[in-house]
Amino acid sequence: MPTIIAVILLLAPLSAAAQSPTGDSLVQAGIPGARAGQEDHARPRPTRISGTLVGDDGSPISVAHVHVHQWPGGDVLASTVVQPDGSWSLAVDTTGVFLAWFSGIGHRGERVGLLLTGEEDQIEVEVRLGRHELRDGLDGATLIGDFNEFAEDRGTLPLLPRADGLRVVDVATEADTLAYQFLGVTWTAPIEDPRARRFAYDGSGGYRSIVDVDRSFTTIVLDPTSLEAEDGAGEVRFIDPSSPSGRFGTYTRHLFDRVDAYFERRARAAASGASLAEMRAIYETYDRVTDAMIVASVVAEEPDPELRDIMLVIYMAAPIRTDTAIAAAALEEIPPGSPAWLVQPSGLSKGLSATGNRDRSREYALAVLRSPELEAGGSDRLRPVALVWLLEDALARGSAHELEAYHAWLIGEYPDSNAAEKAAALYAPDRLIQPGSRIPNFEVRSIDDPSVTISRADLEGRVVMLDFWATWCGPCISEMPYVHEAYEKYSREGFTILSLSFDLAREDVEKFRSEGDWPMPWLHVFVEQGAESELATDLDVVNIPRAILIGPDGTILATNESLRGERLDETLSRVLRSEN
Amino acid sequence: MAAPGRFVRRATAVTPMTAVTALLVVAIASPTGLFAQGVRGGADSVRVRVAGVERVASQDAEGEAPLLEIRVAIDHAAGFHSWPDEPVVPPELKGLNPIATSIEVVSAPDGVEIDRIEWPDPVTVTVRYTSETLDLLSFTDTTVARLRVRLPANRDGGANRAAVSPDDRIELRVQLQSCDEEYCYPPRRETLLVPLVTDP
Repeated sequence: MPTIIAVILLLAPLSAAAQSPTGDSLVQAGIPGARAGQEDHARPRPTRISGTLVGDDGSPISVAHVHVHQWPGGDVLASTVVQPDGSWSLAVDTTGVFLAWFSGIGHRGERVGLLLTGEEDQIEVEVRLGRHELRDGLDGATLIGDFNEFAEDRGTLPLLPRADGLRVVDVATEADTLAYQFLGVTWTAPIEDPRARRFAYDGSGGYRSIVDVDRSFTTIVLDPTSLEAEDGAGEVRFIDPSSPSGRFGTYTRHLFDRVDAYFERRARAAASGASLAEMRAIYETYDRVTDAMIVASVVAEEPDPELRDIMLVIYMAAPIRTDTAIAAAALEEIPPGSPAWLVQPSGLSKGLSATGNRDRSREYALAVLRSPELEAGGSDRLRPVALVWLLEDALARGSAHELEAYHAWLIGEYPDSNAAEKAAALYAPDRLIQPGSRIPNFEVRSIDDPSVTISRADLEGRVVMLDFWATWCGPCISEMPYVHEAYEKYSREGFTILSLSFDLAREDVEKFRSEGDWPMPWLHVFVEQGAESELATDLDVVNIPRAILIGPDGTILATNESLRGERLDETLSRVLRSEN
Repeated sequence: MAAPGRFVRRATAVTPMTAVTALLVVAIASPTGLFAQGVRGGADSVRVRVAGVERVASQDAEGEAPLLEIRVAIDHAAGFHSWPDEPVVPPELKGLNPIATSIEVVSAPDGVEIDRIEWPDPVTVTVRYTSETLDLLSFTDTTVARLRVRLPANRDGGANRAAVSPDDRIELRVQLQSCDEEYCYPPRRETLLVPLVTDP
């Protein structure tokens, strides 16, 4: 077969011709990209992808579609409506790695990776969709829609129970129509209102319901009896599983199953009122061994080295905890200049962080920067990723000159990248508080004994973390398990903490420490006037949580991100090893 | 057992990875939030304004003092939220001391009283402070509180005529505390001077 890497580089411009009917309903519903690629950049050998799509009972579904997206889930470049007999077919005349979503009303969408090399004229896929598994109750059910741009973080509307068993919510709108979905009915995916008559594809295997609106608000009703539930797993089967597309597609199904199971487990725990520590345990005890077995066995047996590299990249980019051994092996396997990284550049960032060997990861990131292969295309997508990782690494190590060099490189060479825009402020070489600088002098009074003052000089000789927090600060409370763990683990190695509270009243801090789960048994200060204080100005603290790690001589060793969550342990381990 | 290294290219030489991976420890941290930026004092995160002042259609009995409705809008920048008027702390944040969004009267002309304050229902905002997500009932986007203000009746002018002058103001103080997904900003107090609309 021709090199897969070569065809990846041909991803743009995208071109595809969907088999008629082309999903006009989606276009009318204003779904971006539903007709993308209508212009014909004719390639000699379009790939026809076809097959069947049925529901959980083996029968065709009244409304069903197949969509081919950019990997890992971007614009739609081809789509087709599934015919009444369950058959479907579409042609794609471009090559590369894509994502196919199979969807049907009342069913759970299924997805699979699609590798189009241009060498396979025909790819046949048989799909059976399962039903959603519903939550035990609807108490957590909410609505998303046009009103919040279908974004959970912009606020969802709770569906309130009515005496007749229905769930209702009033939605204010000035538009003529309202598109919406229900959240919290299934464990993970939003679902359409099965009683609606119009639907639009939601871009990730589901549908949005659409209703006309003739008043300033409309009432959306969820009828629990209209939901059909069954924990029936869906199935996506390649007719030729030994072909490159079959091998790749089957591999991605394994990964998606693992990702879905992980997110469902988290959703179940959250619904049962799991504490932060319990939720964290789910992440920390995540079964990476099974992932590693799947990846290692498939990758090792894959005869095409380039496809193997792509498989590794998409594993590392997957939103599950990456296995250390696989990440380390992947950096040995994949050449730094390989366009396989361009399939999903976030795999590079995640892989570099997962190796457990920062020296090796740093060496690899530098090799990415030097790779001449990237000059042919894609350097502007991959090198900023490597530079950001190196910036963060330099920050964590307190290497001011490296930080300055990478910052200048990122801002100078890739000024239009998202990474450059954000790094410009965060890593500005002249900022007040940064690794390598000396912490300004300060003097504060202990909350436990106001006659005791604590100054920079008093802390010299120890590694100290200044920890700005408050009892009113949710993210600060979330950090408590990590900070207590770190203190317990490293306090015998010359590490201590000075917590500085921005609370409104001294009593709030005392109550929190004496009555709650977090005693904070280290140095503690109540900062009068909080963020308005001279101390906050001197140390450039505008929001919290904010942490600054200081070495025995008063030099700042690390700040903020490298001291939050699980990174705190990693940073302290490294710093104390070098200090001792 | 093989050390972690290159994947073996021939199927016949595959080394079982199970034992290798079982021995290894992962220390991966999410790169999300690497670039969160501070906004000094949170000044850009939330804006408080008077969205309108209206006479409320009177259904009062004759002689009852007239009512004004003052609408106070709290505009959150994208990604920001604040606690509602009656915060509910999720069990994951046990010990948190939330600062409720509130409105209080600092000063008002004689006889002017707050009848009631109506707050909208909070909405669910999903945040990820560390590695897991949390659902918080919050105010986000634009939140409008409605204050019903009872004006002193002008007995000489008859029922439903207010006894306030065009220059009269009510001074309100709005307190709130906002956060984004990673950082919280100090509590803020914004003062609003609201003219009291009088009868024509």
